[in-house]
Amino acid sequence: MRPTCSFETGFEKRLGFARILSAGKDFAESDIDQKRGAVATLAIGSDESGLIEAVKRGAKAVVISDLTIGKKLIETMKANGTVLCLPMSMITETYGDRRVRNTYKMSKLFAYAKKQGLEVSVVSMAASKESMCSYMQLIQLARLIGAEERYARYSLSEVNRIFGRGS
Amino acid sequence: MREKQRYLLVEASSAIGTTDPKEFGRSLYPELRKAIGELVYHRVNPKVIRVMPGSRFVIKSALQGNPDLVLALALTKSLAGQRIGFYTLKSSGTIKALLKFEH
Repeated sequence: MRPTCSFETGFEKRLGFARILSAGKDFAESDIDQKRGAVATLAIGSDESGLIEAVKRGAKAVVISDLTIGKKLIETMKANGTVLCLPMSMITETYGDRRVRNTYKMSKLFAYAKKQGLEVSVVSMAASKESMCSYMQLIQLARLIGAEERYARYSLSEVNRIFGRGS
Repeated sequence: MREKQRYLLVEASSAIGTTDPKEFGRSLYPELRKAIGELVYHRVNPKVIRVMPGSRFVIKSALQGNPDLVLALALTKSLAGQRIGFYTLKSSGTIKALLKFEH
């Protein structure tokens, strides 16, 4: 979730998670479209060269804000073992045509990244308590974009491994 | 033949404001229909069974439509003009098991 999101103690257990990780608190994130060259666990942006640079600098996960990926970025991510994170807030927090377009683009990106051999993970990236999802809902959202249930469960458990130790 | 049902225990991010399932359903069903789509809504056939005091309620759906209902609740972010979030806590084939979880 984003740093703007807060909740009471015990909320994560009710949602079905052992822990909910917060960007900026539990791990470092950087918006590479605004600040290039920063070292962070999670790199967010749409500029391919900036993302490649972030991956080379040690980013463990990447969020592509325009949901389009180039071959060069895929190769760099594969070589460095970087995970592609798909933020479900782009589906849950949008409406109408935008939601439809984001769902379509995300499902295409998921299929393409999987085909290319990238590890893909589903994250909520919730900016507020209302936009958070339970474990059950994240599984169904992952299925909506084309993941098998088994893979969705695996990818959710992997999030802790990727970000759990911080940066 | 009786259709198999699935029950969901759901928590809202803020207080629901009523304990009447019919009254709550009247405001929730249009939002769910908007998220699911009219063509799929009949397959889900959701019905609010019980509204607990506070922010939890039990909703049932047809067994095959349960994943669509979970998704629709994740996509529903407003109710009667108010911003709200719904979290599905538990799913069960009997209402008794859900109420056990609730207590």
